[in-house]
Order: sequence, then C-alpha cells, then structure tokens
Amino acid sequence: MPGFVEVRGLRKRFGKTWAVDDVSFEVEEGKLLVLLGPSGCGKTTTLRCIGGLEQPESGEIIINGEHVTDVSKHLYLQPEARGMGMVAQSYAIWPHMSVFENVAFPLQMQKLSRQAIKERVREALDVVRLGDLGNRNATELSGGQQQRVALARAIVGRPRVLLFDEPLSNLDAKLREEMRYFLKDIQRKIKITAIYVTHDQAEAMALGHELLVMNAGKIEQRGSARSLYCEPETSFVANFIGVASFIRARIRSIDPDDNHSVVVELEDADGKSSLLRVRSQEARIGSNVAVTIRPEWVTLHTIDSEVSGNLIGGAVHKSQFLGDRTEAIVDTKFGQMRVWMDGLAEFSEGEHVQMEVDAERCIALPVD
Amino acid sequence: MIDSWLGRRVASNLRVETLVYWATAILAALAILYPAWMSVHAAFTEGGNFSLGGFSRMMQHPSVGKEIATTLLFASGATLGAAVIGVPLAWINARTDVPGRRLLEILCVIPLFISAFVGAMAWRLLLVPRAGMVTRVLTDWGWPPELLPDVYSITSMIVIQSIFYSPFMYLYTVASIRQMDPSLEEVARIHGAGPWQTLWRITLSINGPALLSGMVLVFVFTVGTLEIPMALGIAGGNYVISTRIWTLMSDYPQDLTMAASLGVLAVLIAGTGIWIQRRILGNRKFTTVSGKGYRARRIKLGKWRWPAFGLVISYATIAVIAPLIVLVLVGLQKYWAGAFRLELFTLDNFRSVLFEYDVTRRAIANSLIACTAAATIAVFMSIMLSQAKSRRGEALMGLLVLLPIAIPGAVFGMMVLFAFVRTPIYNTLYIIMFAYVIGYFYLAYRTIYSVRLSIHDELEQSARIHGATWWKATTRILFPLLRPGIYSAWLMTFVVLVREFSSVMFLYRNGTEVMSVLFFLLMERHSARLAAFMVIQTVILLIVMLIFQRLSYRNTDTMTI
Ligand SMILES: Nc1ncnc2c1ncn2[C@@H]1O[C@H](COP(=O)(O)OP(=O)(O)OP(=O)(O)O)[C@@H](O)[C@H]1O
Ligand SMILES: [Mg+2]
Repeated sequence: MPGFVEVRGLRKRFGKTWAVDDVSFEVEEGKLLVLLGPSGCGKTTTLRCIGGLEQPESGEIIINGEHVTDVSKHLYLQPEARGMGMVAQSYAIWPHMSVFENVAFPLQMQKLSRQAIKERVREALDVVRLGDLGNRNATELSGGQQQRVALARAIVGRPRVLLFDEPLSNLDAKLREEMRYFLKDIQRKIKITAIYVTHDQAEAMALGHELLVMNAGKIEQRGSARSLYCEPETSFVANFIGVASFIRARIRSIDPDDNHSVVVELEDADGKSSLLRVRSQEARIGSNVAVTIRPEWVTLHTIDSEVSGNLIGGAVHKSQFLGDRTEAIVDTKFGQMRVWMDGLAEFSEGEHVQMEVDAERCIALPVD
Repeated sequence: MIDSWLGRRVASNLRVETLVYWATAILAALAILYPAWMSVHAAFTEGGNFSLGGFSRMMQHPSVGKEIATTLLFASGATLGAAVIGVPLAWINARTDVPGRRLLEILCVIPLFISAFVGAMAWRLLLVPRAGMVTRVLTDWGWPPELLPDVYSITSMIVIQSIFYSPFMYLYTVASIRQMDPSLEEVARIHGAGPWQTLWRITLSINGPALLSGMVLVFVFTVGTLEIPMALGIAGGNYVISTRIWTLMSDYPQDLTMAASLGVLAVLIAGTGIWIQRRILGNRKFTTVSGKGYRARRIKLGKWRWPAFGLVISYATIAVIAPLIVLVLVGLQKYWAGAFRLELFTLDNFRSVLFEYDVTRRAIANSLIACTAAATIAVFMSIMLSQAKSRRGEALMGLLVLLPIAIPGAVFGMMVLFAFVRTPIYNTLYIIMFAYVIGYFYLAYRTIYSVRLSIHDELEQSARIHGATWWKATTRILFPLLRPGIYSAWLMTFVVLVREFSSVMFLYRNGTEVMSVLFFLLMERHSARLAAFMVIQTVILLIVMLIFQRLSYRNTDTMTI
C-alpha cells in the first residue's frame, strides 16, 4: 500500500554541501513519523521541502497520490496550495493578533463564513485546552500556551499533513515532557498524518509510530522505537539512540542452528584474545564487527563469584550512585565500558569484576 | 567596619553620578522649554500685552489658508512617498536574495548624507525649463514641452522630498524587518496565505509600528523643512508654513507675532501627526517573542532578482548618482550653458570657492567648527543622559527626546532666535551650536542609549568597589565600552548637522554663515560656483560616511535615528 505521504529521491543542496542527499520514505495515513538526527543532519530541510518552503534539487513529493513537488516536471506547488499545517520551532505566533485571530487565520484563508470560523476556532482551542484564552493578546501567553496556540492554528484548518519542527525544544524540561504526552494524545485522537522533526531521542521514541534516523543528509535506519533500540543496524544509530559501548571484534563462528547467533573474538592490545557470544544480522565469518553493548545489557559480578560463559574481565574505574541506578565505568583490556546496575549495588573503585554480557541482546554491527 | 566604609564610599560616588545626570537632564529640558515658552509668549504678546493679533492677522492673511493646505499636502504626500520608496527598498535588502546586497545597503542610505537642498538644486539643473539637461534631451527627442515635468510644481516638491527623506523610512523599517523571525511569514504561507496576503497581513502588519514611527518622523521633518520649499517652492509660488514664517521674520516689515503664531500652528500640525500615530499604535510594540535558533532565511526572488536589483539601482541613480554627476559637471564649467561643453571646462570654480572667496571659506570653517563642537557636546550629553536608571529619569528622557523631534525644524530655529535675541550670543556662532545641540542631540542619545543598555551596571560598579572614583570609572570603564556607539553617534550627528538647513536659516548673521546657508545665498547667482560648493560639501559628507561605514560595526542598522 502506498503511503499517504511519499518522498522519493529528495536532494537539496546549500552551496556545495548536500543538506539532504537522496532521501526516500513514506508515511501512512494517520501515522506520526519522526525524523530524528543530530544537529545539521538535514531534518529541517527535509521538512521544509515537504512544506514547499524549500525547492529541492531533485526528487518527488506525493501527498495522497497527488504530486506536490516533482523536480523532473518542474512542479513545485506553492506552500499555501499543499493543504498543510505547521508548528514551528519558534512557535511563530503572530504578535499583532489575538489568540483567536491567530487560530482563525487558516480558516480565513479558506474563506469560511464568520460563524463557521467562530465555531471551528472554539473547537480547536478546546482541543488544546485553551478554551477561555481567545481574546488574549498572543504575546501575553507563556511558552507552553503559545505552543498550544501554534498547535491549534495548525490543526484548525484540517490539514492533510501536519509538520512539526522541534516544537518542544524551547520549553523547559518539565513542560516538555507534559507537552509530549499532550501532543501524542491529540495526534492519536484526531488521527492526523504528521511528520515530526526532533533531535531528542526520548521525545522521538515517545511520540512516533515510526522513527527515521538521519545522518549527514542520508537516512541511516527506519523503524519502531523498539527495533531501533534493540536492533540498530549501524553504530551511528546504536550510539545516537540510547547509550552504548563498542568493542571491536572479528566473527569466529556462526551457530549452525541460528545464523543470527555468532561467536566473536575480541583482541586486546597484547594480542591475547577472548571469545564472546552475541547476535548479528548478517554475519560472515572473518568480518570485522563492533560489538554494541548497552549499559543495562551487562551484569557485574565480583571477581570471586561463580559465573560462567560470556564474560569479560575488568576493573571498576568509577562508580556513581544516581538514585534509580548505579553507573559504573569499567576498564577492560578492550576499552572502557559503561554499565548500569541496581541502584544499591556496591562496587568500590579499583575493584576487579567480571562482566556478564547478555548474548541475546548485545549485537555485532558491521564496520567498514 | 570595612564594609560600612565601603558602603559609604560607593553611595557617595553614586550620588555624583545622579547629580551629573540630573544636572544634564534639567539643563537639556530648560534648553528646549525656554525657547518654546519664549515663542509661545511671542505669539500671544504684542507691545507687552496679551494679544491675539498674530492669530487674527494670520486668519485674514490673503494666502496663509492656501499655504496651510499646501503644507498639509506637501507633508502627507512626502510621508506617503517616502514610505512607498523606503519600505520596498528595506524589504528587498532585508528579506530577499537580491544580488549585490552590500552595495545596495550602502546606496539606500547615501541620500541621508546629501542635503535635500543640494538634491533639489541638482534636480533643478536637470529639469529646469529649456536649459535643464534632461529637459533638453527630451525636447530634442521630440517630447512635447507641455508634458515635461515642472520642477517647480508641488508634485515635484513632493517627489523630491520623498526621495531624499526615504532613507529614514528605510532605516526604521529595515531594522524592524531584519529582527522579524522569518517563520512568521512561512507559517502563514503553509496555512494558506499567498505571497501578497502574507506581505500585507503578516510582514507589513508586524512591522507596522516601525513603519508608523518612520512616517511620523518624515511628516514632522517635512512640516518644518525649508530645504525643498526654498529651493523649488518659492520659485514656483508654492509657499508653505515654514517659508511663510521665514518670510515674515526676514522681510520688512517683519511680523514676529504672526510668525510665532504660525509656529504654534505648525507645532500643532506636527503634534497631530504624532497623536495619530500614538492612537493607532496604542503603545503597542510587537516585539516578536521568538525562540532561539532561527536562521535569517531570505525569500528567493527567482526571475525577479535582477529587476529588484534594478529597482534599487534606479532609486540610487535618481537620488544620488544623477544629482552628483550634474553638480560635478556644472562645477567644471565657466558658466552653465545647459549642457557640458569641453571648451568651457575649468577648475576655477573649485579654486575660488576653496581659496579665494572669503565668504565660502568662512562658511566651510564655520560649518566644521560648529558641527564638530556641537556633535561632541551632543555625544557627551547623551553619555550623561544615558545613565538614567530610575523610572522618573526614563520618563523625563522620553519627553526630552520627543520634544525636539516634535518641533518642526524651521519653527525650532525661530524659537531659538526668540530665546536669545536680546543676549550677547545672538550674533555669534554659539547660537547656531546651541540649536544644533538641542535640535539633534536625540540622534546621539538614541544610539548611545541602545549601546548603554547592553552594558551591565556591575562592570562599572565593580570598578568603583575596587576604588575607582566616579570620574575614573566613567572614563576608564564606561567610555571604552561605549566606544563603538560613541563613534557612530558622533559621525551621524555631525553629518546631520552639516546638512541642517531649516533652523540655521533663522540664526545666521553676517560672518556666521555656515555652508548650507551659503547655498541659499548663492542660489540665484553663479550656478557653476554654487555647484562646485555643493560638490565640496557632499564630498566632505561622503568621506565622513565612509569613515562611518568602517567604524560602525556590522551594518547600517547601527544608525538608529
Ligand atoms: N538557508 C540555508 N543556507 C545555507 N545552508 C543551510 C541553510 N539551511 C540549512 N543549511 C545547512 O544544511 C544543513 C542541514 O540543515 P538543517 O537545518 O536541515 O539541519 P537540522 O537537521 O534541522 O539541524 P538542527 O537540529 O540543528 O535544526 C546544515 O549543514 C545547514 O548548515
Ligand atoms: Mg532544524
């Protein structure tokens, strides 16, 4: 089934650098897709191309089966003809209008009757729970309230697609979390197709039906929050989403019953090696990999405890009590690793430990 | 022990500062209010008694009614015209990807550095019936003479005034448009507004306050200007209030009472303009509460890039390039025969203006002395006044800054004359300096105040806590920090004073002529020498402008007016 929004082969250049370099994806109707990536990776530019604010160098953008951008045919529909709504990073609340006028604007552009505008604005303000603020001057609102006005304005015209560009990044941490659930609620309730740009992975994981991780203008991986976290395909994704330590290794053998289960050989500086069982997506014997180990995929044991299998030895470099957990940085022969344990676990600095690595979770990623 | 000693010391230092501030502020207030009072007094007094004679003669005067109408037409026409020119230029430079932006930005403010009187005289040379350069070319091409523009008409006055005052509109709006978050426009587009609707309902509306402030400024300037009304209006029989006041004051028999009454009327007209602005704005200022991190994205003009470039260039041609070329050409001729003739080429005009004529040499010296002194005093005053820290101080400053803006230039000249007519400074350059400082210190004040706002008080206070006296803290800490602001404020004030015309026309006497006055005195005599003289003034101003460009950090925005 073709997506409600389809982007094919999108490329956009600023000067000599490609801000967006051959990006393709689709969004199903009623779903929220998050574009996630570090600063400068081209998320905003992609979003702006979809909104018609930027002319790409090549590619097509199709909404509900209808081309809005088709570079090969020199088709660039003006932003106002695309039927979209947008919440900008800076809120972009028009300071010379009241809350009501701000929200009414898209409807006025659609030439609705006065009465209809009144009702729809009221409805939209109710949805964002600002029902009684219509007469306020837009600039007299708090950041969170402005954010809601921007949201009401974006949905009031019943757009086909809703675009969000880091809408929460200007709010303080507490409010950001609150608004995150609020946004999710509304999107799920009105079932509007949405594309959401952020560099905050927690926000992305909470909000998106699907996530698209971008890096340097290209798509690294797409998938659900769970699959990106548990099955990253590149070390960039593993590193960007959640926390991970990496150990360089080589694949020694593949389990004949399960070709996703492999044994890798780690090599330390002295040329001594140890073996570890982990998972791998596409394993070839002898290929170089980076073993990706998330801090909670490791269990620490004291040096004298009786444990077997999948162990790496090391010494606690630093240990820090963080309330809900204790974080330890462990020196191993293969590099430093970060480990999270139960908050009350106690290891003293310098203590020798054994690290039990979860073979079902830790994953060997190809390196080039 | 030490603490209380420190506390006392700081407190007494603070008192010095407060004292200096209040002394300056009160002096400045008196310097405005006293002349204003004197001329209001003059308007209602005749032979030492209260009288409405001035007003009644004004009502019965055969032409004053028409002149008031002409003034209103001239001022509102020029206000609209300056907006129509200045706002698109500002928008093009601030928001689009027009090519050659750096050059265009400079070209758009250069007219500010050329006196409107000079511009008008240059256009007179170009368009005067029969002998004008443009007129002759058009006639040669068979253009019907009745369709030639009449340079003395009220329409020409309005157009030329608009051209030379549009930089004020430009500067006011360009700063405001630049500060605007481009997302405000983009979000409008996304939500269904076309480019024109966006321009009208978002861009122009949000920048409305800046636009209105600029328009009010141009309006008040135009009500009080003598430049164009003298250069073109008198010859065309189009008197306005300012020229009428000037005639009443300088022609025999003088009628000072009626002149003062007309002055009151002009202030009322200017005040009405300001009042209308305040009413529309209702004290609103759309400071855009934008979040951090937006990139100043420019609108892609596409195929309109070069037409937009052409538009700015043609403005610069009309306002700067053509007038300067014609003045240089005329200045290089033995006499002006309507076109440049190689056999009439000479450098004599420049030589005699610079080295031989006492009166021109004196005028250059007078201008340089008076403007340098006045700009320096204005800057010092502004530094002292920018120390206002209390609410009451701020309110007083608001008034102090508003008053000289609200009083039309010619009327201000008359007021100063009334104030000092019986004092020893009456016949000296000091009276001109006084008018310069009081009439224009707000220019320096605005610039310095905006820089002052960005300097934290702690810097200065910590210097004092470490033992510096008030004077030391001011000169060693505050001045260096203010330095960029001081430079641009000084240069800006200097330039505006050199070209100032309307108020000095009332204040010069034999021996205290400044350059702009001499333009007027030479106007009907030797056009080639006058042209040479105007070129010299313009060159001085342009050199100052170049220094200004160098020193003013970043761009022309720092010229807050
Ligand atoms: N108008 C522009 N002119 C020149 N370069 C630009 C412009 N807009 C974006 N770029 C460049 O394109 C690249 C991608 O920018 P973009 O704004 O899409 O990044 P982003 O992923 O949204 O980053 P952030 O998280 O910081 O917002 C960056 O290298 C940026 O410098
Ligand atoms: Mg961005």
